[in-house]
Amino acid sequence: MGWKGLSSALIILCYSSLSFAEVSGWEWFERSQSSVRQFNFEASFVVIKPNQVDSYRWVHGVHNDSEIEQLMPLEQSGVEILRRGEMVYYIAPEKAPLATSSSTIKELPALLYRDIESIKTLYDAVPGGATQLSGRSAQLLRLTPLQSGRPGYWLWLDSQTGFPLKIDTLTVQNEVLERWVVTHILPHATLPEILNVAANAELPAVAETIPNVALPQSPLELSWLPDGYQEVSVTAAMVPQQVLEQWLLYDGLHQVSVFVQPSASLPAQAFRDGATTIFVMPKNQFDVTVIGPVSIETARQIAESVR
Amino acid sequence: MSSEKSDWLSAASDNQAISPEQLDRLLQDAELQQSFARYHLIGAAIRNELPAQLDMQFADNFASLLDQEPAYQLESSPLVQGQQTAVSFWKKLGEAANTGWFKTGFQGTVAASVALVAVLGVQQFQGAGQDADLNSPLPVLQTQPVAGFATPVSLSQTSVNSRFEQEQRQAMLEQQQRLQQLLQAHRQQIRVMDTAQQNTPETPAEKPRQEQ
Repeated sequence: MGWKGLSSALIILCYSSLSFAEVSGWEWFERSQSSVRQFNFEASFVVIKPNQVDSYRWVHGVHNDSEIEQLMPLEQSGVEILRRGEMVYYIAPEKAPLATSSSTIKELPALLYRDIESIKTLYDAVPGGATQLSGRSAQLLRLTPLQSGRPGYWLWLDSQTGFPLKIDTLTVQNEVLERWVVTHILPHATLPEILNVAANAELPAVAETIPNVALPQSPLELSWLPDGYQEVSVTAAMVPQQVLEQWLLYDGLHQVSVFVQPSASLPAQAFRDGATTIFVMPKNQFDVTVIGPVSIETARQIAESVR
Repeated sequence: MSSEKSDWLSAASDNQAISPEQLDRLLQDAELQQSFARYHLIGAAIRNELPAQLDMQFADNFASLLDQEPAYQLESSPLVQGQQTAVSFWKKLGEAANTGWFKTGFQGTVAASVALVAVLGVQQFQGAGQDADLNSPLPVLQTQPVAGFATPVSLSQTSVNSRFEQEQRQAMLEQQQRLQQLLQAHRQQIRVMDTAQQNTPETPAEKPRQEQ
């Protein structure tokens, strides 16, 4: 009797895992992307970098067919972020809130929100095995970059809902650069109560907060872009002083900034902040700094292309 | 035969080796033993080693003295018997300790007592350490520099080095601040990226070329 029960359970288990394996990598990815848009939930997550751990509280709800999302750092000196539909507000104490029009909070993993078609041009999705993660069954999904220079991603998705439980950002050699882990999740049937206030709060419009200033003219030029990247416009008001020129590059998922500053006569240096590479290269009269989730080699090539 | 007998005996008394059979004979034959003693005595007399007062009967005297000693009879007194019962209790306990659950319990007790002693000892030790810490002045309240108050007046090599290091550290700190600022600017641009793209639909890639 016991043996029969056990074997039938095994058969069911095998069958169910087989049926999971039939779901392709991109289907898993799509499921994951829609789960963070559709569900009402309260969650906490931590971002682990080699010398730093940041923890956040993350609340999401759907109200009158419009999304409301709130991201709060659990440390004291943090900016609270609120998204209502297509507007994102950065609310810091003793400061006027900054409003931008965007359908995503950029501090959340970009993978979960960017257009799946543009990600497909950069990555290959391969489903892995199922494991146990925080007491739930999790499906591993590996995103391998099609061109070198981009980081790889390993996603662990909840087997039932596709909700992301853990995301590792890795180098080509599969060394973990940054880890994003959900530590707690509480699903809600309706809009979480905590978002009721945010749903009705009066917040400023975009135009009021970002002044439209043009960057001063400069003779500098970026002569080479990494594969898949293109230049996008920079908001001049946010370029720090003493920066002669800033370019922003975008590949549909990652952003890379290139800064040109007066020389401080320092040697070429490379730093890492989690998955973000910071590369400084002195040129004749100025320093070029490349910041973004690219390999050091790519960053060096970008810096060298500044003329 | 007699001469043969006396030969080896005399040799033995002069510290010459004898065979095991001859040793057996010497041990069994009282006459031989007497002559052996005599040979020794003669040897001692020739070598002028005779004691001032010769007591030939020392061994016999000592034997008779031992005979005269009163013999003590060991009898069990009531007190000793009581001790014996106590011992038997401990013995029983010991036997019990080697069997079944009692063994484990007993071992556990021993281990616990050892641990208790260890913990108490450590606490005592730590307590002493804390007291010492409390008695010593806090680093914050110390008015004298930790390295001592006498700094070298002359411009020695070390002070030049430390000054250089300080400058280097200052430069590194400035560098870090600058990079921190740029990292912040990078994040800000990401935040407002979508807005910027909406506001300026013209192709930004052409901008640098126009400037040239």
